[in-house]
Amino acid sequence: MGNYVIRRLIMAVPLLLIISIIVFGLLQAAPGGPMGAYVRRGSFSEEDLRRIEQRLGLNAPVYVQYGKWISKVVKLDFGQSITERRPVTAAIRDRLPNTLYLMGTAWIVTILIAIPIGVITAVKQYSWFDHVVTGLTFVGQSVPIFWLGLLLILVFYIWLDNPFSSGPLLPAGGMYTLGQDFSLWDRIKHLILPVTMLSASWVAWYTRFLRASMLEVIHQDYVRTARAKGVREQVVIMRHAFRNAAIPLVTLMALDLPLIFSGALFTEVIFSWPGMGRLFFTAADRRDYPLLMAIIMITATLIVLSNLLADVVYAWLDPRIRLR
Amino acid sequence: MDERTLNEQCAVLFRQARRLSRREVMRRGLALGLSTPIIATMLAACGDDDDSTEPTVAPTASGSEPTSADSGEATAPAESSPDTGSTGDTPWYVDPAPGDPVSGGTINYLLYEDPDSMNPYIGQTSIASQVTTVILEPLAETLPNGDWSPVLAAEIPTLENGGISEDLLTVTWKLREGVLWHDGEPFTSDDVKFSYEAASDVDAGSAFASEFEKVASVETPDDLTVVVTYSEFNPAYVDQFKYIIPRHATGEISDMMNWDFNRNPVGTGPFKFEEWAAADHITVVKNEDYREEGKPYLDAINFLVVPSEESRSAQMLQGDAHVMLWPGSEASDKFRNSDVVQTRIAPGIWTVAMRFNLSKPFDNDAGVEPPHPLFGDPEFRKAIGFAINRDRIANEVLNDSVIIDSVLSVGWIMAEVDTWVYDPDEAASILDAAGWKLNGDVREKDGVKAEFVCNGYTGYLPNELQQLAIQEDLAKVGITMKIENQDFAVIFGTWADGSPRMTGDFDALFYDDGFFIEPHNSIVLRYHPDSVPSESNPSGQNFIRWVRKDVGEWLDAAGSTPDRDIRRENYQKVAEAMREDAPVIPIVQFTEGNAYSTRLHGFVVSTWEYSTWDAENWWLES
Repeated sequence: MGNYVIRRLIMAVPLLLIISIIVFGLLQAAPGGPMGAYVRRGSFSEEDLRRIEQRLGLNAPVYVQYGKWISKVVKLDFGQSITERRPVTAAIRDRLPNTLYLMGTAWIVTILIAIPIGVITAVKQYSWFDHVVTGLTFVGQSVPIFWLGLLLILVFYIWLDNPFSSGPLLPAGGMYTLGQDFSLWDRIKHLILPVTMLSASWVAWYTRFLRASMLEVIHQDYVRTARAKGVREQVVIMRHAFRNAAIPLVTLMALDLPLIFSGALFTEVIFSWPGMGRLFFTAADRRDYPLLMAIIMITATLIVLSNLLADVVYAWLDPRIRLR
Repeated sequence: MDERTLNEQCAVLFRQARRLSRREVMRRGLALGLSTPIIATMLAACGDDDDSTEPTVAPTASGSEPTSADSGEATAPAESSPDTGSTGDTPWYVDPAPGDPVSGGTINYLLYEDPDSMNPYIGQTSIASQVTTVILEPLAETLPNGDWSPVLAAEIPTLENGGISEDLLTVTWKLREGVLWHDGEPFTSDDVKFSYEAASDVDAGSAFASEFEKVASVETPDDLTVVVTYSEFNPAYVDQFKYIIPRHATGEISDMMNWDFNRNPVGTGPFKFEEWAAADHITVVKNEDYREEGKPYLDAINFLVVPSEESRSAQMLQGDAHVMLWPGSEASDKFRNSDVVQTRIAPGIWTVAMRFNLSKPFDNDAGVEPPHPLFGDPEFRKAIGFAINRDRIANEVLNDSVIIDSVLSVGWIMAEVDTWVYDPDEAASILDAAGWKLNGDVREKDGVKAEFVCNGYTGYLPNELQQLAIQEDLAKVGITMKIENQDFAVIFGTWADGSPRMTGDFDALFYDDGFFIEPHNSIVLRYHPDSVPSESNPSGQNFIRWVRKDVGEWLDAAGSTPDRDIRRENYQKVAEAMREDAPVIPIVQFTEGNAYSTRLHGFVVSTWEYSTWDAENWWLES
């Protein structure tokens, strides 16, 4: 196992290098460039623009730019963001906690809701509860989430009022109320709508997945054997069925980890959440190469690592699988 | 004439009122069905004087304008707003405050993206400028009517007060006494010198170095005097110092890109920087030491970053936010009948125009000769001027614009030329007379078809809609216009990029550009015969290759004096020549504005300054 992990980690290096070359090349090949943002602003003269271009090193050939970039990245220096006008790491450091906070909460909420529902719908297959949940999960999977977000604002911010004060029931955005001391309730109030928006489709997805997985396991011989031995139904479900059904779900969750880093653009835009999704979008919009490359490469690294993690966890949970 | 058309006509008239005689304004106003008292109000607001076109403050030369290049083709108006009804009794919007200002209160100001930096000299976005404008101050600012008002200066240097020397090369600024930086240090002439040093340092990363090229030296004989020496006259000398930054609270100039100041600025303005949570909010609080007693009225301003327009307009309508920068037309529609939110506009600076290439394209020659097969013929260009239905564009296609007759009918120049009346019959007869005969649906002359390609930039719907309308109009008179829009970076590329407008490889260009308060450099770059872009003159912007010696002489005359009357006369001649030759057909000018809470008062919406320019006067009704 140890050897396997080390070998996979070593193999990840050339893989990431190839990814970085492809992405760097693609970004450069795409029309437009970081100078577009300056030109669009309109207030710079030709000479000033040339000087800015020179200073950003954008007039060098692509391979020279890549060489400079990669030689700094190996020292973990991602350079200076063009749009943020500060080191890329500083920009990410400001946004990452906000994203982890939102996505992490949404992820935990998702698991807390999806697991019991997934198990119950499988155990009580074709009951009214199963039918209702199945219907709702289809809705959750197919509703465009930006539309759901706007609907939440309409209902909870515009239509419904807070019965204890004159304001709206829930805030339309932001992480906390400005000019107030820290209050847990205030933080939670600001989380409710964005987390609802994020979890809606996530819960639906995990629930469907767990239900299918549970159904498969419940009809296995060893479950029947456990029942025949006279084990209590609750123990059969939790210890014998669920533990095995959860294995693919764990893999799925591990593969979703990079998402928690990269954020959710729609949710962040609609609820004015200062997270990574918006940072990435702005960087892409303005062709902020250093910032784009940093986010893409960190995400790529996380994907490689979470794949490895999924494999390792899988092997650990399922003794039939051996990694070599 | 529906109400909106009337309002727009009024808006144009209001804009022009300063340039027209009293009688003329009266005549036009009555023709529009305005009542005499309204016209009188308008005249009062615009300087009620038959001869003098300059109302208030001393007419000085001067000017602003960040620079030369492409003075901002197409930016802000993208989000500008309609609600033409609010044009009010002045060309800019002045809030009619209901009683005396009250102190206190915090407002939320909605931005749609995070500012990039609080240091204007490294080239901040116009979003960031909305914030820095309340923190940092200039030596002089532009009033809505185009005149100058001293801010950190004690007075505007003019020939009359000896502030500018007879040879126009030495400008002496007297500074205001007793101004303190937000950290308590006194503001002195050395800070002005420092601002110059930072702004002119190319290697440190200044984005405005070329604006300071004409400055030979900045001396500080004493703490309250700054002497600026120029190598040649700069018509924009009053607007030379748009932001003063402190020497003591910044750092080494060579390290300008990394100053703490860039995210934690110290200024002299009405509000002090308090906090910046990236992509969430910037808070500024009242400067207790502000030089005007009792001001600012507000305790604080929260600049909130709210990227979703739906969310911004919802927060405005709920009364949680007080200012929304550049609401789009959708948001403005929502505000139209609200008693909580109002949209307020002023004339913008962005003029859309169709520009013809007078020289033959795709001949590997960026020069002026040989002439363009179609647009080499002035009659052909004029016919297009008469064939475009600009009324339809201003009133049906767009809802946030007014018709404009000359690209120079702007600001204090406000050149006046014959309007391009929509007259397809006239267009057809001009074309017939010039030998362009109908052959099927398309005209032809000597085997050349009346077909051309119109290049604009992609992603800006208002311009694309106008192009479609023009395409229809021209088809009616037998001219085929193909629309080929390109990426912004291509259409506004540089000589080194081989951009088609630089190398002269295009038929017609369609985009918006504008002039800032001091337009001289831009006008020269775009229309002077010496400004045709070429290998040796890569920053020239006479893309249309319109070369007239007399235009060059008039522009040189306009650039050699600070006297606005003489300058205006010369620009007027250029505008007339442009109307006669028709190398450019102006279409519309965009209006610009913001949405305000009806509880917020004291603000003035100006064409020339960022929305927060008068934030010290804002107050919140309790």
